[in-house]
Amino acid sequence: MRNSETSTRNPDIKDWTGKYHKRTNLQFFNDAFAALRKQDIGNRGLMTVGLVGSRDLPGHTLRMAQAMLRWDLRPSYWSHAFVVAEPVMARTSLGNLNILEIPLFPRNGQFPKPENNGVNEGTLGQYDDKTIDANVGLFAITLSEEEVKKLVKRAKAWNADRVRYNFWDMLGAWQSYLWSQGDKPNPLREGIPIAASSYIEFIFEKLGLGVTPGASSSNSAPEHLWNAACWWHKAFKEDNRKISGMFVARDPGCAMLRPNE
Amino acid sequence: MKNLWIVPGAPLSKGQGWVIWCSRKGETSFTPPDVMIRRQAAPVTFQTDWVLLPKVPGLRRRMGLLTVKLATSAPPEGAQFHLTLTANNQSQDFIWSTLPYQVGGKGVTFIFASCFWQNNDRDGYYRAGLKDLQALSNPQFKMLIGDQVYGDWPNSWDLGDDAIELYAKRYRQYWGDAFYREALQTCPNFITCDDHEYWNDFPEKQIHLPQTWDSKNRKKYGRGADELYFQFQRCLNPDQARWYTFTIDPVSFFMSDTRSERERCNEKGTSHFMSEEQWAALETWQQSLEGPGVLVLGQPLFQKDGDFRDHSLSNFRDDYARLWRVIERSLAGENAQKTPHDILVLSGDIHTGRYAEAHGPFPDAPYGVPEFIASPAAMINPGNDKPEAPPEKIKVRPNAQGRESVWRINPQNNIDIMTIQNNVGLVRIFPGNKVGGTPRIRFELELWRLPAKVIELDWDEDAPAQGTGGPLKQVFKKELLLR
Repeated sequence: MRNSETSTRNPDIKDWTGKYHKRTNLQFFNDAFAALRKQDIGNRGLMTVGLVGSRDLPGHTLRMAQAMLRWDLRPSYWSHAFVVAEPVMARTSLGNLNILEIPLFPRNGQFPKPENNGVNEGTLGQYDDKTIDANVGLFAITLSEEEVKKLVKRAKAWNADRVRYNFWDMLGAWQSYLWSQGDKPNPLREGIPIAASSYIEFIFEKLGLGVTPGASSSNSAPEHLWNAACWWHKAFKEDNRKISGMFVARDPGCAMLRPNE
Repeated sequence: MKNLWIVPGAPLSKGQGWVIWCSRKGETSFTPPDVMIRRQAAPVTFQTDWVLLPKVPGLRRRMGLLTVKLATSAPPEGAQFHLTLTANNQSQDFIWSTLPYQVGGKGVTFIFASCFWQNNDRDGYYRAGLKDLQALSNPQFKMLIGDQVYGDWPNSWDLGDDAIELYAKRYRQYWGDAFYREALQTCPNFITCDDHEYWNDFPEKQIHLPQTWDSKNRKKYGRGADELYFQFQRCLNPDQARWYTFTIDPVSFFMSDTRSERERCNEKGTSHFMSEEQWAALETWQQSLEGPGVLVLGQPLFQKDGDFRDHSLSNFRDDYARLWRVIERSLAGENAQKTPHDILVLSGDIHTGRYAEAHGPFPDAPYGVPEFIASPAAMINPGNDKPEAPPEKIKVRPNAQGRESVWRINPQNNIDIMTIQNNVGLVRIFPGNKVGGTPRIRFELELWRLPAKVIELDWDEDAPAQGTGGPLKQVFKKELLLR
């Protein structure tokens, strides 16, 4: 991990854990979209980035694997990242809000499509269960309308740079790591990114925006996105961009769900 | 922009801007693209100057150089600008840094690479690695230090082709590859050449190339190769020079050209790999060093003698000793400042990524002479099946005192890495501390294995010499504190 040389955490990333600890994730997202709109950032939700920290087996595995990316060597809050693929309007049902993502374990029950490079068209409602998805966050970067359009186009051009962003291969490496239960080396040590966050990098690269500035190797992970939001705000400010967001962390310690939980 | 090829050349000195190479199909003149520049999202004012290069019959392309000069120079540590180039209603965006002119707290980062064989990289793994490194490390420039094009391999030279047409075909294959252009576009480029810009072991004759068998033809094809080296590569350099220096205070760089002026190697060892003019420039550079020097050589300093198949610098006995004398004088403090300055050698050519140190009669130079090699960016086929080790002993005769000095490279202690996997070198430079009252500059050297397609092996298969592929990976890192 590279040091941002910033001693102050981004004041625009708000901890809503106290308020949303007992409320659902969709209630959190509903209020988060509203708060971003009030701040005049986030383009009505379009191309905002969501982070999820799950307690199921895939989530726990991914969070533990990212401990090596943190200076305190503790598990990451986050196991997954997605982008919101449509604007949030007054009549939008948040449960059905379209998101684009590359999950290790697609919640919509669809097997990942190799022709889509593993990109899954899901909905926000899949991440409503706070018992499984104990940690959630929503983050926005200052973007013009024109830039957002470019990002939407890029997000759907999943095969645009498959040599660099072969999400399908990344999923293969991580599936193997997950299923082998410690028999395989941590892919992050081998320079294999977590596909979900690599996809976010792929999208924002269209604008020349590096969203994982803390990475010192080509092993992008949700932890890098979190690190960028919290600690690299001054670097983004140099480019006249602000990062705002909010999160709820009900499970900072990465407790795995029991089978009957 | 498919119809307009764009490659950034050497950034202008003192953070003033860039030279941008543009090329279009056809032999008629053309106008440069429109330029828009922003920094931190705000528009920036600048001036441009456009020069079309002379038309070369048979090339079937025209080249031009667009000099973009910022109205206000960027700060000494360099700054990133967002350039949008537009031609024929098509735009392309680039994020390029200006050339730093002082080593400040933020440091200076650059990449160097050599030996790109396009036939083995049609999927664009070199480009993939450079783009990822650009995102990871933000290098401000890169040095392409030879064999950016293999003019002579594969050996499909048509005997009927004239020299220009022959090399033009190969350049069109390389520069016409959008992936390769993207690799060239990641950041501004300083360039020098090596043999494959001409042919293997240029200017020697090659058994597999009939065009090199007699002196008249060697001259003819050598001139053709040189003309296109100018049109595609050399024109991007400061003053379009074959060799040149630039300074990022207090570090000074000498980009040499040990190939294009080379004489055929004679058995007495008295022939030259550089012109007297270049020698004078190199010796003046050494005399004027005020901090560490970075000497870029197309071929390694540490290399065993070659033979008729491929000559090394050491085959040119007198010139080789003269090169060592330049380095020894620097280590001895024989310069205008009367202060010892270390010289880091960067090189390529040998299809081996390598870091080695030669230790000799200067015990106060803890790294002796450090040499860092990045090669290949994409291995030629057939390629090396094992790394090329340096010699264990190098004798310099006569040395600066007219005697003999001996430099040793202990294979156990003085070679940190040798790999034949495709690679590029990355160097970061930061201000260092004083050691024993002498100010030092911190050099971080990193060798990065380029990404490569993963090869699955059956149980009864052996891995190929270049390995089984994988993602971009840092395979070596070392820190030097240089005077």
